[in-house]
Amino acid sequence: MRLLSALLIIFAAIVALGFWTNHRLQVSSGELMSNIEQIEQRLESNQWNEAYEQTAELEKSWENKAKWWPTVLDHQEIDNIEFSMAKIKEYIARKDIALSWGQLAELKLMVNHIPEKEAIRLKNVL
Amino acid sequence: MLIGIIRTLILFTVVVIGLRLMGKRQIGQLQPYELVIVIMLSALAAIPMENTGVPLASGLFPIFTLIVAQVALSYVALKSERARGIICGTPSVLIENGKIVEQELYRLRYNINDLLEQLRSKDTPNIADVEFAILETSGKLNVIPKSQKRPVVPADMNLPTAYEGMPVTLIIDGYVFHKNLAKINLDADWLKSELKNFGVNNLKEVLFASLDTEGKLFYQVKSKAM
Repeated sequence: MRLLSALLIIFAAIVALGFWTNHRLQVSSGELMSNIEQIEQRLESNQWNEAYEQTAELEKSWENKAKWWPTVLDHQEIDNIEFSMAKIKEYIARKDIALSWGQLAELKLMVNHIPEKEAIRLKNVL
Repeated sequence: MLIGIIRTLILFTVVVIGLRLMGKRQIGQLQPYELVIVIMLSALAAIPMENTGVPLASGLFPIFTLIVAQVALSYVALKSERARGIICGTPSVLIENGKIVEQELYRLRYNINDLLEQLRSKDTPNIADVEFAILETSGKLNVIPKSQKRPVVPADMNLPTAYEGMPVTLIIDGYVFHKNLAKINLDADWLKSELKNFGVNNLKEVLFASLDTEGKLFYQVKSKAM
C-alpha cells in the first residue's frame, strides 16, 4: 500500500505539473503574441527600422519565455517557429511587405496553435 | 546519434524500474491487463528512443501513468474478490472427474485439439486419468491427475523421510555471503578454516561454496583459465 500511495502522490504531482505547464504555455505564448503585434503595428505605419528592432525583441522574448518549450512540445514545432522568426527578420530587413505580412500571419498561427493543442479539450483528446 | 543513446539508456532504466515496481509476477505469469501494459510500455519507450524530435516527457509520463494504473489495479484485485474476477477473470474447469466440460470449452472457444496438446505437455495424454484440468486466468492449464494415476510419494508407502532443507549459499565467484553465514550461526573465519583444510587459502579463488542441512560443505575452486 505504501508503494501505491507513493506512486499516487507522484502521479498527482505530475498531473499538477501538467496543468501548470498548460498555464505557462498560455502565458508565454500570449507574451510572444504581443511581440508579434508590436511588429505588425510598426509595419502598418511603415516603420521598418522599428519593426526590425521589434524582431530582435521577439527573438529575445522567445529565448527567455520559451526556453523550456522543447521539454514538453514536439521539437519540430519549435524548429518551425524558429525558422519562421528567422524569415520574418530577413523579410523586414529587405523591406518586403507582402512576405513580411505573410510570414507574420504564419508565425501567429503557430504560436497560437501551441497552447490550443495542449489544452484539455475533447477535440484534443479525440 | 549520441542523444539517441542517452535517451535509450534513460528509457531502458525507467522501463526496468517500472517492471520491478509492478512486482515479480509480471515476468512469469501475466494477467491479460498486465500483458497489455507490458506491450504498451515497450511501444511507448520505443517512440522517443527512435525519434529525438519527440520530447522525452512524452514517453516518460505515459509510462509512469501505466505503472500507476497497474499497481492500482493489482491492489484493487488484491482487496476485492469481485474486482479480481472482473480484472483478471476466473479460472475455468475444463475437465472434471475425467470428463470434458463441454459448455466451458465452447464458452472459452478452446478447442479439443488445444486441450489435448496441453494435456500431452503435462504428461497426462489420457483424459480418463485427469481428475481436474483447470484453465487459469493467465492462460496456463493446470492438470490434477486422479489419485491412482499420480506418482508414488513416500507418504503413500508410509516411509519415514529425513528433513531436507535448502543448502545455504556461502560463496559465489569469490564473494562471501556474510548474511547467510550469520543465519546459520557461522562466520567467515570458520569458512576460511574449513576451506584451508581442503587446501584453499584464499576465498577469492572459490567459484561456489554451499553448506547443506547435514553440515556438508560443498565447494568448487575457480579454474585458472577463467
